[in-house]
Amino acid sequence: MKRRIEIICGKTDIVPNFTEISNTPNYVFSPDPNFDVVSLFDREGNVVNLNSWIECAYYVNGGWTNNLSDFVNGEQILFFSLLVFSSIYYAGKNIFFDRIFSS
Amino acid sequence: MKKLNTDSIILKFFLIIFLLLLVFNFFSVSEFEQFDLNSEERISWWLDHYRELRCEYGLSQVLSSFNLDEEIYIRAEPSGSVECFGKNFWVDYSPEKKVEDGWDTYSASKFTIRVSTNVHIDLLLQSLFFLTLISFIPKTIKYKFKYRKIVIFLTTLLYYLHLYGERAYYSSISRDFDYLLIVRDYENSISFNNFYIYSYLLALVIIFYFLMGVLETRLDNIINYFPYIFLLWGTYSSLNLNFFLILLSMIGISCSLDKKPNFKFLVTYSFFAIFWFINSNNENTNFDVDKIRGFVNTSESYGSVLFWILVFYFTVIGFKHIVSISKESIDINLITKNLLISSSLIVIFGLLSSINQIVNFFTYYFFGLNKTGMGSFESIAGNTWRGLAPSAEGVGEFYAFVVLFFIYNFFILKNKMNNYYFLLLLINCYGLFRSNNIAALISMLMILTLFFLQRKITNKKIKLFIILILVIVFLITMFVVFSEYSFDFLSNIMLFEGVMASNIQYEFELNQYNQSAADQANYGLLLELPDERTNFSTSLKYLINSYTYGNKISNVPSLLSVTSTVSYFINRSEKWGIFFSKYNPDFYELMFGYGPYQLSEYFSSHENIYKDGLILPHSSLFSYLLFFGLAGSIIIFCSFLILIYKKREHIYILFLILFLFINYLKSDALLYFPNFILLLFMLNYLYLKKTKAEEIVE
Repeated sequence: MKRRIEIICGKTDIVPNFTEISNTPNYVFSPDPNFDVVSLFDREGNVVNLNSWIECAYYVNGGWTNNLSDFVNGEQILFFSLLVFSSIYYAGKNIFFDRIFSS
Repeated sequence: MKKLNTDSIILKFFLIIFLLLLVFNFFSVSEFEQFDLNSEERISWWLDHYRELRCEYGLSQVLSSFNLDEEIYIRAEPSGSVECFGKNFWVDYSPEKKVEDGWDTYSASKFTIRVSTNVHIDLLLQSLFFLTLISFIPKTIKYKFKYRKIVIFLTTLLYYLHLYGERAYYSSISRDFDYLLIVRDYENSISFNNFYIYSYLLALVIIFYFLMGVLETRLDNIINYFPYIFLLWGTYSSLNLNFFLILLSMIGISCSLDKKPNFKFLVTYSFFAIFWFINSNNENTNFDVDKIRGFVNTSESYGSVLFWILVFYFTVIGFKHIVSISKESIDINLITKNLLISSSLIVIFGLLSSINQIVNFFTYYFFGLNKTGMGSFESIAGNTWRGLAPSAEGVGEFYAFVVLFFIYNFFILKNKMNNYYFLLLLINCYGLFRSNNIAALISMLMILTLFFLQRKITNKKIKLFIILILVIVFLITMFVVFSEYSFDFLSNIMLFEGVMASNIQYEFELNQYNQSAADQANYGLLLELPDERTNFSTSLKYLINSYTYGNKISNVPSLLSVTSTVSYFINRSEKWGIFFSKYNPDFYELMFGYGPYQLSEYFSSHENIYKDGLILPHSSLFSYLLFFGLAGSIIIFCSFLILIYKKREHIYILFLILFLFINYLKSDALLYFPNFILLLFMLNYLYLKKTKAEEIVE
């Protein structure tokens, strides 16, 4: 998530404490005049304009993004598909194949 | 693997092509009626639709969505995500434009459709395709890979180093790129969610596993099928890697664990490697490698330099190992047939891909081409037609080599060949004609003459006499040609081009013809100007100095003058001039080079007026001077000479190697993986050949 925050919101020395922000009701993000406004959207298509780095980071951490493909982690799906494929192949080759031929 | 090797190769081939097209959503049907793109307004509407709905439509859906007789280009876009693979990324439209310097000629309007590809899917899909093709090679004796798991582990580690070293390139095409296996978040919590790297590594392990499985029963036969790498280049669409480089480096790692290394080679290479590593800037750059992708470093980081040092070493020893275990099974007749089939297929697919843009895209993707095939049947500047190959020059050399190899096999070795192969030879000659590589053609004729003299004339005196007559004819021709030019012009034309390409920041006083000191090649004055104003590279400055003030023997042209003269007649004076205006080594870089396939530092260390585009040295000798320096190039050259001297009895093979050397001197062929492998094959083949003395001893 840190990398995605850096890509969308930019790099900074600020260390955000997302738990504290979430646990503080009525937390108000103060706008940063030096920060270029970032627009993010969520799965439902809601759009939000963010005026400070910490606000942007908080929203990205919460699942908002500026890129449609961020909603699907293709690499994760691919990794588990490959893992399942290799496991089935390995099991098929070493357990069933060997047993059939040894019997 | 056993099941893959049934008789129905063609059926399996089409099945795999069908499956791969399916992955590209190629058979999906558009839900819309065709747009009639007969006005700019409707075109704009169509463009907006497909730009906004990125990642929604398959290639065939986009292609069938409009009805217009326009030029269409389909290009791969490597920055696509996994889930968008094979779908629309972007569409572009260029209206007709007046051709520069054209009187009333307009370039046709064209559409460019960019199709999403992805690092991981390309790695898997293209490897699957190449593995399937390798599985068609007939099985022979079983070769046992010792330390199987260690080899897989080490090769995976090596290609992890590649991703780490060239991170600037990979992060430029994927926003999810991260090379860390364990990621630390803001709250110092550790997370294992970098699936980019996990799927890359797992994909590699799976590929290596199956690659070993396929090679195990074919390793000593694979050498007979090496000519197909000129058709199937093996470059991954979105990675800076080549499938066959992976294959050879894996075998190189395997045989390094298994066999004693050649200590002389290892020690010398390690000595150079230490220098290359220390000399590296360790800058995380992203150098655009364009048409030499897959076989050159994109970065100057320590990781990438180390990767290319290791991969070059393992590739060379991997190839040598394959040739040495194939000693008994090398079949020159089969190699000749495969050379002819491969070269003919290059021509045929080149023609097909210039006629149809869908074929053009899929040949680019599945054959692993470095550059999309030519989109037109028409020749380009210089009247060359490169077809599928990235360089007309490189492929022209290949076509000419095929003709020579065919003659070597048919007339010298007296191997029988079917009439069908003569037809393929004609197709090959057509390719040579279209590539318009005059140098390859002339050198081919020269080697053919040598073949003829060696074969037909046994009397040494007559042979010498004919050679003498040929040399005299050549000298007279040269004299006639030279008499049109002044010696002064020819001997400094290369330096003049170098000066013209330099980024000179000096306000010259112009003469009555508006010419500056640079235009007049007034080197004496140019050398007196401060370095920061002339911006000459160290190599160019040295050459100008040597040309102007160097020791001269009267009536004997210097090496520099001869090189410059030759460069003019082989159309290289401009390119070599540009090379020297850019090549800016210090003493150690000149001696040891920048490292194997390390062009980035050469391009970035010194600016000339050519700031954009990849202008290659146009001489493999200069490329190797960049990589291995003067000392390295001399060592390589001396090793060649020793090998040639030892094996001088095999004169016809030496002629074939001579042909490659002559052509490689004036082309970038060694920067292309197939041409590099061709030279490696010929040298290893010569190395394996026994001399008469060795045979007697045996």
